[in-house]
Order: sequence, then C-alpha cells, then structure tokens
Amino acid sequence: MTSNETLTLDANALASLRSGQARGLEQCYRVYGARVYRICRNLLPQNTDAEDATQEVFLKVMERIGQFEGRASFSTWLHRIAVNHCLNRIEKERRRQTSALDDSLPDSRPSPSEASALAEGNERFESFLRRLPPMQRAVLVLREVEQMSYTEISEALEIPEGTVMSRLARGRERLASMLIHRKGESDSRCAS
Amino acid sequence: MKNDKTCGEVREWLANSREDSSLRPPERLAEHLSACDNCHAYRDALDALPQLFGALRRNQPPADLFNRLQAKANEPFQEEPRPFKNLEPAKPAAGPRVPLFLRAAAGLLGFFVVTASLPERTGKQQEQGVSSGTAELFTQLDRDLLHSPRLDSTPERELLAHLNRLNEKK
Ligand SMILES: [Zn+2]
Repeated sequence: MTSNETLTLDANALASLRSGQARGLEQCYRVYGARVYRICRNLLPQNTDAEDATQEVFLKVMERIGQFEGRASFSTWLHRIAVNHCLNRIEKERRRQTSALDDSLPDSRPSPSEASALAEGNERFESFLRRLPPMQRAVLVLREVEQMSYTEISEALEIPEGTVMSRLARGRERLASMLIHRKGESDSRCAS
Repeated sequence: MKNDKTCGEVREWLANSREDSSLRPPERLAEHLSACDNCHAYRDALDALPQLFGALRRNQPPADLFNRLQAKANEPFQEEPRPFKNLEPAKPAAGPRVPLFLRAAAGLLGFFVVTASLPERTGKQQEQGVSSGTAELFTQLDRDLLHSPRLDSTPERELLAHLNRLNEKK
C-alpha cells in the first residue's frame, strides 16, 4: 500500500472494532499498521521504540473507540492518537533526562546508537530528522512521508493550517542546513 | 557573491515555496541564487529532501508485530477486559456494606410507614397510634442511621430520607 492513498476503515470494520471483535483490530491494523509504525519510528528517538509504541497506539484505539464520535474522520482521530502518543513519550523521556538535555531542542544530540547509525544514508537522514523539535518533525513526517494534506495534518495535530505550513518551511530549512553542514564535514575530511 | 542578508532571504523563499513548483523567485533573489554557491548548495539540499523522505516511506513494521499486538490485546481479557472496558455498560457503584440487622430495621420501618400512611389516603382510620409509634421509631433510627457516615446513598438511606419528609409533612 502506498501512503498517498487516502486510508479509510470501512463501516463494517469500524463496527467490528466498536464491538470489540478481534476482526476489527485486524482490519484496522491492516489499513493503518504500517503508517502508525512509520509515524512512531520517525517521531521517536529510537527505532526500537516504534514497535512498542505502535502496539500501544492500537491498544489505545481499542480502549477509546467508544469515545470516537465521528466528528472527525476515523483516520484523523487515529493519527491524532498516534502523534500525541509519541509526543507524550518524548516529553516523558525529556523530563526524565531534563538535566542532560537542551530544553529548546529536546533530542538534538545523537544518542550512542544514533552516532553509530550516522554511518549510512537513510539512517543518517533519520538522525537529522530526530534533531528537529518534535512538533516540527511531526508536521514534516505527516506531510513528506505520509503525504497527508495540510487540512489532514492540521486536524490531526489540532493546529491551524498556517502553522502547518510555517513548521514545514522551518523544518525543511533546518534539514537542508544539516545536510549542507554534513556534506561540508565530509568534503573537508576528503580534502585532508 | 555571498551576502548574509540576501542569502537568508533566498533560503527563506526557497523553503516557503517548496510546495508550489510554479512559483518563481523575485528577480533580485533569482540573480543572487544564480551566482551564490552557498544558496545553490542550499537549494540542492532542499531538492534532495523528497527523495530522502521517500526512502523512509519504505519502512515496514516487523511481520510479527500484529501477532504480538493481538496477544497483548487478548492478555487482559482473562481478568479484566481492559481494551473494551469503555464499551461495557457501567456497573452501578457498589455501596458500603450495611449490616443485615440495619437492613431489616429499615425494611420494618418502611413497612410501618406504608401501613401508617394507608389510612390517611383511605379515610384516616386508626392512624394516630401507628403514626406516633412510627415517628418515635423513625426519630431513633434517624439518629442512629441517617447520619451515620457509613451509609451513603444506600437504598435504606434513601428510604429514611423519604420517610423523614413524610414525617415532616405530618
Ligand atoms: Zn547566497
């Protein structure tokens, strides 16, 4: 499944989920599992956190399905749970490590495992992404990885569309600067 | 050609205009861009982002993740239906345990009062004796039970409160 398709859960699957049937969870996971996993993976500081977080998100969906009133789409509602879950985890971790981290950039320093991951392309890029402030990262991931519209992102994150656009622009600027900086470093290593 | 102020403007324009490829920079910025290596490198970096993000789109969850999720979802079912607790109709909250003799006393009281109030409705026959006896018993029970902190919204307490109101009317 490509992520730029509009993901929807059909009415039967939603009803199964509401009535607590295992089939409902399975169908929900089939439609949204990969996306939720990628959101968790790209928002959380460690790739390994993504598996636990994905499971926790789906358990939350099951717990709270009774509160889903259908005012937003199911997809928006689920994305909101996924992103908030990750942001909460990041915040908890930040509080735990508060003495060691810079408040303005919650996880701007690469962890030891990230440092070793800097070796190769995608992983290096993932580590750059993780240095952005969480909300900026969330906007970029939903737009660039999940290819959601401004409106969908604005609804999922409960922020105005204008804020979505400005965070996208600032996030891209910072990533581009990191890429140039990184290239400069490797160029100077080659020259020496 | 490096000029920090103009470089900043160019970068801001480039970052803001990514979503609309039809946009062209104002002439002044376009001129700078064509001559500034730094801004060129910056534009190249921005151009590389979609491909880098595209690679992240290929990340898939491990194949066994759903089985693990399913196991977790079923786990609490044995003792407490955690995932579905919100779907269950709310059970009435269990009130404090009331000793049997107090329940019996309240029941008896209820019986007396109902019996006592019948004559009023049907013609006020032989009500005096029963009513005054009930009032006494009520006063006693009221002291002992109604203000007891252990009784909070029990049927007995509701009954006593009701009886209290009836008694006041009289
Ligand atoms: Zn420049």
